[in-house]
Amino acid sequence: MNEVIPIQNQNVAYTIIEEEAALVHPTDSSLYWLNPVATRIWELSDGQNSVSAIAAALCQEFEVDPETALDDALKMIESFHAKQLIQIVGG
Amino acid sequence: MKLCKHSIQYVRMQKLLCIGQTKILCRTDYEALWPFIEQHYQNFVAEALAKPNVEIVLEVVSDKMIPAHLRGQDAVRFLSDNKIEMVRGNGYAVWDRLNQCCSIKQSKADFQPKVKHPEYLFGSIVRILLSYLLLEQGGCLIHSTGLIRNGQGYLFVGKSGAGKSTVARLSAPTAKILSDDLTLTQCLDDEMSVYGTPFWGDFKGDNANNCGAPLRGIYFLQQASKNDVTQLTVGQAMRQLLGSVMHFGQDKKTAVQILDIVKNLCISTPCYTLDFVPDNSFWKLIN
Repeated sequence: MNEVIPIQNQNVAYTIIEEEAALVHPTDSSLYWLNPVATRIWELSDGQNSVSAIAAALCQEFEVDPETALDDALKMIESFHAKQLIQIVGG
Repeated sequence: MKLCKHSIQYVRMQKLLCIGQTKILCRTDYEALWPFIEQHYQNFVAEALAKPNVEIVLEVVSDKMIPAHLRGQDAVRFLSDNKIEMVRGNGYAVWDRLNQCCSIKQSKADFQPKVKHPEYLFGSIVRILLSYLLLEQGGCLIHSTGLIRNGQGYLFVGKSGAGKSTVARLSAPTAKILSDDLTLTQCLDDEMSVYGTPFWGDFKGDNANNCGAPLRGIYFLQQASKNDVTQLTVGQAMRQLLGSVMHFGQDKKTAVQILDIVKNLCISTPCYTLDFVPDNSFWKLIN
């Protein structure tokens, strides 16, 4: 699971304001508001970074240990996937 | 604008409406509908020579002319990139965005004596058209009370029951009420402005016409035991405002437009939560 690569759903519209992202899923107009950590995970879900790479970036940018970073990244990516905000490749 | 196929037919009644900066040419040959349109939109009539953004032609037809699969539905859907179908109650409309014309077909059943508001379908279609046209112009319709006080525009936003009509009623002696249901915001000449619309809630007052003013503040309403105002960050304001924007799009382009418009609105206009008691003393805090 650590090596899967998340890719943002191209149909999702988003904007970032004050380090927080607002995401709108067009098919049902669901609105999601992400805190700064979740926003960074969303930004890094660009099809270029595996979950472990995203976790490593979180360690560098936020005051968090590697284990917590990986756990947060996995949970958030699973949540994004369940809401059809991202697709997952590899793994 | 290409002439839509109805333009060359003789229609007895037509009127050019102007809501904000959006011009809608309305045509029908059905006399029974016209008094409702004239009464409801009397304050939003424009110069007949102005070029419309969209032309609406409304035909009243027998019930069997309404496709069976559309009857009783309530939906807005894209038939193609440039054609939108809108279905409401006993009628439906198809908007050809390329040719800027919208054809409405309404069942004669809506004009039986027992039906109180035959103009409901027309009003629904106008709201939908306006919400889309405004997005292209950097504006939007917001569920809110809008008013002008001392030449300045204000929006009071809240869910049903939050107090929008109460604010309108309390403010009426010293303000021009633009609407207590749907207010229009639009960026013109680099300034965010608020305009009245012909769409009203419970407030029964001297309905404003198509006037507008620079927007000076947005207030998210909460009824309380004492008055209080708290300024919001842009992010906090966006989170509250997004749920009050009227839109029907289910595509990414529309979602992006709405996000950008709401972000610009919240960046350019101070936003607050307003706890208020049901008298007009809250104006002391706003002033």
